[in-house]
Amino acid sequence: MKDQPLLDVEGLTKRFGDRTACQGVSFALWPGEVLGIVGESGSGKTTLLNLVAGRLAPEAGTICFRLGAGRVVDLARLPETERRRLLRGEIGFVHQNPRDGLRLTVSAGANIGEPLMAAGARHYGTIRNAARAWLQRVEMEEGRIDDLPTTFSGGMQQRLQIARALVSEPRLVLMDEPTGGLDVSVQAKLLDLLRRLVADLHIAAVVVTHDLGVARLLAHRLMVMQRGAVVESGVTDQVLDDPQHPYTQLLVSSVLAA
Amino acid sequence: MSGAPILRVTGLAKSFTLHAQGVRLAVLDGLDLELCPGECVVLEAPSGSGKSTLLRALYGNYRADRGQILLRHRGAVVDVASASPRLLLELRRETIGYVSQFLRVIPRVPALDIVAEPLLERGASIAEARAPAAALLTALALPERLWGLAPATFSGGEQQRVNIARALIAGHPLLLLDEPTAALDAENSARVTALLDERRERGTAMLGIFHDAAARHTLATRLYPLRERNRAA
Repeated sequence: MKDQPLLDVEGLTKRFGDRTACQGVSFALWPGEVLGIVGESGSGKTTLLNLVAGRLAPEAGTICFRLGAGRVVDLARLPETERRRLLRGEIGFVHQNPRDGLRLTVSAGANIGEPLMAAGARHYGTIRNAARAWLQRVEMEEGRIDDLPTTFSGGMQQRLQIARALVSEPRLVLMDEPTGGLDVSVQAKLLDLLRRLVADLHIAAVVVTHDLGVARLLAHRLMVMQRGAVVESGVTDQVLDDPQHPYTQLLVSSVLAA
Repeated sequence: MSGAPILRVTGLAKSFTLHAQGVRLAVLDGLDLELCPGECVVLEAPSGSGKSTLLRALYGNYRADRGQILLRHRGAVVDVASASPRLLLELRRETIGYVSQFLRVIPRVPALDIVAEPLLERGASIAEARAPAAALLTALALPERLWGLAPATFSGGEQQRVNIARALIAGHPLLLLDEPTAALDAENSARVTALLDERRERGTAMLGIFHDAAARHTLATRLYPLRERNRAA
């Protein structure tokens, strides 16, 4: 295990006024790993995700990210422009609501093609072929390539958002309740898709969810958050089947069995 | 060095603290156990005395309170009880297989792909992984018309065979078996037993719970009674 982590977060802290949303959170993540973050609403899960994504600035802590070239940068201390330049295409984000991650006024093909153009692709044919290949990869009909996202169902929009987030082949993907607003039948197929993509592309992923069933099937490791702090972490099935902390025990015992 | 144990457990203790109820349940205490390649050790004790708990602790599904679970992995010895989550996941990919009583998988994934998955996790392509998956399902006599279907609608015996195929596909040198034949009829039980025995002959070490007398008779090279002293008071 000489290999280095892709992401190494240490002592991350964020306050909103006198409320601590994130309290000294530390974790490391390696390529090919899915880390699940669970906890009830307001426990700080999404704040943590937004800190890692650079959408919020922490009061304290470091977020060391290993760039493709091997150089390690602290995202918490990088100037905005520098961070944007370095991270272009390296970190993808999947929102709970696909409408937050898509551009609704341009076609499906353009939604997938845009990140490629931002990364420097110029040839129309190449971009369109990549968009077509990604539609196939997320199991959407290629014939819908020129349709607007607003004409798609929620599950299809989520697939499109995932294609848009992954087309530039990021090495880290951050997902906020990626299956949250979907029917359970759509949720199952999407979970399978996400898991296969993470394995095939050998990317690392952080998945925030309040659904322990989703966490069990998607995440290799789990962190349980309560009031901004990590109260327990470990291999997913260990945390869920042999929870140690009173709060984790409460969460696990509150799940309704189908 | 084939005589050297693959697993050596010393002084293992496991209890459960239920905070909401203010209860501590002690299950195992001071348990010692050795397992060599080619051995099939069958745990013997009444229901509720901690056999499944022991298997789950060895797999790292439950956290040990005390003691060591020394496992030979990649030519070195590692302690499952104190392994980092990342190492534990590696041990499960490469060295320890586990057949649970229940199949817990993503809904709507076809049986063939569920069986193939452990190979995908090791980096095989889906085409490479499906061939041995199909061979195992054939050996376990799961009708081919079921391979493309998700197991949720399968009978208990069919699900159990998918579960066994999934556990055997990666060829782990150590297998933990929690009643792998419980849901099977006599014919299918004999099929599974024969397949397991063949693996054992080739050097796989096994530790299992078998209530099925025929399976136990065929497979066991040694019985391990979970004595009163190993069961926590």
